[in-house]
Amino acid sequence: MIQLRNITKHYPVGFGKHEILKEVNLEIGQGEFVSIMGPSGSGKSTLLHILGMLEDASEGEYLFQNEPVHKMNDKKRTQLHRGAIGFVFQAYHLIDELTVYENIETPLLYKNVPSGERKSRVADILDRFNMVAKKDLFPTQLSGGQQQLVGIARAIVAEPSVIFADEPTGNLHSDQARQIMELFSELNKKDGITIVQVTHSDLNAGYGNRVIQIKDGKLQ
Amino acid sequence: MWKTYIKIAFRNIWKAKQITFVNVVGLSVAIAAAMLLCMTVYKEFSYDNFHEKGNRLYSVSKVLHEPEKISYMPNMPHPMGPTLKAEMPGIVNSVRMGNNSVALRVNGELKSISTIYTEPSFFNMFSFPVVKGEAKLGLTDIVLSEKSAVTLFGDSDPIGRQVELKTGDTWKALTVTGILKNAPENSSVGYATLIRLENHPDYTTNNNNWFNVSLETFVELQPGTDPETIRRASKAFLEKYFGEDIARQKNGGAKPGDYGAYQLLGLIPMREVHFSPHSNLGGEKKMLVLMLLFIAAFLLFIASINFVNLTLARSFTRAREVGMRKVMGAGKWQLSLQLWGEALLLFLISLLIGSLIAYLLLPGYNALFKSGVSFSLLLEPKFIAGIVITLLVVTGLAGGYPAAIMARAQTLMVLKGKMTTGKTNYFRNSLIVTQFVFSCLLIIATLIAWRQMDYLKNKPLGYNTSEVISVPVGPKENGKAVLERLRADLKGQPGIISMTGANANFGMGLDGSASTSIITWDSEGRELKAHWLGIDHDYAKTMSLQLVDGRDFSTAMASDSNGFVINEQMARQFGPGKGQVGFRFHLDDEDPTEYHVVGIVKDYHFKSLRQEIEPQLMHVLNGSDNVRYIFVRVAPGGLAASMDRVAAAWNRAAPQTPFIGSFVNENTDRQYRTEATLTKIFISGGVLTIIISCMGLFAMAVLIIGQRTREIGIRKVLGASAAGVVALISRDFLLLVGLAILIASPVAYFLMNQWLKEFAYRTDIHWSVFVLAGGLAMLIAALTVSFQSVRAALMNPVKSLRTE
Repeated sequence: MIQLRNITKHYPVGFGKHEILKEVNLEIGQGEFVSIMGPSGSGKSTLLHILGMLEDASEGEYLFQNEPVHKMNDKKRTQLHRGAIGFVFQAYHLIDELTVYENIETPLLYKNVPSGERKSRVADILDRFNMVAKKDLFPTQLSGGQQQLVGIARAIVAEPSVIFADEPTGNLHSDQARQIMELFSELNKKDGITIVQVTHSDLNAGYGNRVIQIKDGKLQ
Repeated sequence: MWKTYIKIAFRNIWKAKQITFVNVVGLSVAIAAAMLLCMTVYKEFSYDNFHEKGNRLYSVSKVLHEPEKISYMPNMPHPMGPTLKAEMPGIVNSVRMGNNSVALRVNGELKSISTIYTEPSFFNMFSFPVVKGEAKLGLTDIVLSEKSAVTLFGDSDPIGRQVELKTGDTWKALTVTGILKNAPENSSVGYATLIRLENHPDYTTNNNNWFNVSLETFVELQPGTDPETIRRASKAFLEKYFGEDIARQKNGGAKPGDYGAYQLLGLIPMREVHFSPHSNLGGEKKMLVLMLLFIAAFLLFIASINFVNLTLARSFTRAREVGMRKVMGAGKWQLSLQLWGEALLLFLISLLIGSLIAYLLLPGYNALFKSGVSFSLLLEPKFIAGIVITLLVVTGLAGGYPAAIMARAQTLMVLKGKMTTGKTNYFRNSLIVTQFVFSCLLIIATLIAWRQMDYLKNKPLGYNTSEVISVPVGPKENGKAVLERLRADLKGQPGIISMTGANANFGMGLDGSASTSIITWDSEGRELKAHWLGIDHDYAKTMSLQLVDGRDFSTAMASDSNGFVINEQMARQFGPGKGQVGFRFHLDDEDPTEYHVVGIVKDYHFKSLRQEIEPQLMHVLNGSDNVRYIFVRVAPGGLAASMDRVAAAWNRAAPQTPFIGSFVNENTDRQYRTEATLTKIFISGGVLTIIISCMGLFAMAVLIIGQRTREIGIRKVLGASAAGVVALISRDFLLLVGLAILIASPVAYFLMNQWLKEFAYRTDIHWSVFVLAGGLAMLIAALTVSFQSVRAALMNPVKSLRTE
């Protein structure tokens, strides 16, 4: 599903350049649950951003569902963001001005899902996450764990084939973290969604079926 | 989708109440002001656009190339119109108009009303619709406007009714044949009544006289005729009728103009008459109107700047939302549209409030600027289209620009909250500077205009302005007779010093009329030129003119009828050895009458201070050339009581004419109405720009201090004093204002210098004006910012640190 070939990322620094990723080769298959681990500054977030098409690689080839990402235009990428890719962030990044319900509904609006279907899909998800009672609350009225649940609900409502999660439990205490990781595990097994997460925690990595170690921009 | 957009827009507005409030209020005020100003401008530019034959109608004027200058004659002699029609190919019709105030008797009741002496082609050429009766103007007919029909006849049907017109000392019966719709507000040609030109008291003397100019003349060209061909042909035409004049111009050393002509006709298109300086019907300053448009535009501009600045500043807090939406697959277009839509919503709200403000202010505005616009203008399709276009442009710029920046920003950067980069700060700061440049410009302009007005009002004019009452005689009475009656009545009354009359007023009296007569004659091959004023005796005494030599006119001297009192300029023009008391001269080489100088008065400003003092000849009024203004000099104490006394005497002397006397200084002030209006515009514009700019500054301070709360807290914990913190925050803003002052000063100097050049007598532009304006702008800005900065500085640091 995902193939990286000789991916390199560097930023210009003064007259030279600062290499963050060096010649990364990686393949992730459909239905995998991959954890990317490594020390701070090793390039794991950058790798995730490149996978999620939020950043471009400086060199190398990236095939997403056998299509070359490095040759895609903005429109095509936006299309993928609408349908095929879901994101979960450490800081949740919910829209403060929207209620829980509206936050979850937003990706469907961009996907032009008809109103009736939108309602039923959001309702299903709220039901599944046990959040029906909280649907009219605003994000600031929720606890961190609940916010991240909304974040995940929002990520999966458009039925993506892959979720990229950037330290999804970084801001949560261990009980909440466990709950979130179990949810990921369930989504992976039951719904067959490919999950790629960046994490510091071995415990979290344990929920996945593959761990990628990265250090100084190189896969170990 | 739209529903969420609107919902989120409202929640955003609610979340930033304070800033939204500033935004909306600033915009509403700007929109209201712009709306009023644009209505005025629209009206001014729509003048005379309703004539069906409009593009073929031209006002006739004459261009004269004289030795020292080119002069323009807006009025034509009686024979000009008909002769042009008869002899000039391409001219199919002409109309002559003489405006005057007449006395009418309706059912034995005497009424004073203005009339146009004209001819039947008036109806044919202009498009003034008939509401009743027919547009027929025979020798004994009169046509009324709807308004004057009511004034004269009340509710009864005037068609076929009789009125009597006072001609000299007799009354002539006229029949009402038709009623015209009132002339539109935007018509240069206005009318209350229309009477045949033949009824004018001077018709017989002027009918074949090519040299007495008094009529507005319009011509209608054949379709497809180029006015330039008429202009070219007018050279020969004028040589035929004004050969002597032209020969004199040639001898005097004048240089010929286009087509080698010394005299040419100037055809002013109907639509341009209103702004033409060469037509008596026009003279509206295009500059002034364009200035209004300019002020309207930049009020909107600075309000939009506030909008852009606040939106940009707030984008910091919006960034996460925008970033997240991008991650979820929002297109650039969708994002821009959403953000633009929010701007549009705010603008629509402001438009509503602005319209309401404009509606409420309209009566006051009309009174202040005498603009006579009505709100119905807003419903004109062109105006609506204008509003929509402005709305789209302004929202496009003010809402779209920040929207586009946010939408285009790198998703990752936005998500990390790195929205406010150095670049946008530059942009934001330059916008603030622009605002204050405009504000300073207007403050400086106001101060300079103010000083000039003050100078005009206080400059000694060389005659007594504060203790002389000027009374227009009006058309019903014989001025000389009234003057004598007043003299007899007021003689020996306390507070009354002396009395005289003249055929022209000082400045502009309450009858709203001002006139100038200029005479030119040949003297030993040289052309002499002088202002020509008819006065009664005691003129110099009453007006406190200083006699340099000789004496005032006196009743005792019969020879005074051929005598002149002249001013020093005239004496100088006569030349050395001639301009003295007793000097004898002829006004025309062929005129046998010998005139002589009776007295010489010190130069005084009988015209406005825009003009240099020119030579003047004053002669004794007699015969048909009658006293039209009576001047009464009163004692300095008890001016109001004297005014009452004069009014009471007037009512005894001329019971038919209401007393509209005023002190001469009121009249002279009135001639600077354009300048007074300009000053009002400057002040209003200045106040508005400052208010709106400061609102922007205020909101900006709120946002910036909000962003720097943590910094301020840390500084305080580290021991910064409250004053230090206030200085820290204010400094950035004040630097911008200082920069604005530096930019505005030279621009203002240049512009106002141009304006001052219109006056022959003017103040200099003193450096203190710039210091004062700069200080004022600085002070206002500092006060505005300090509201916020002091609050931030006094905040408990623990509290402000906790907010992060």
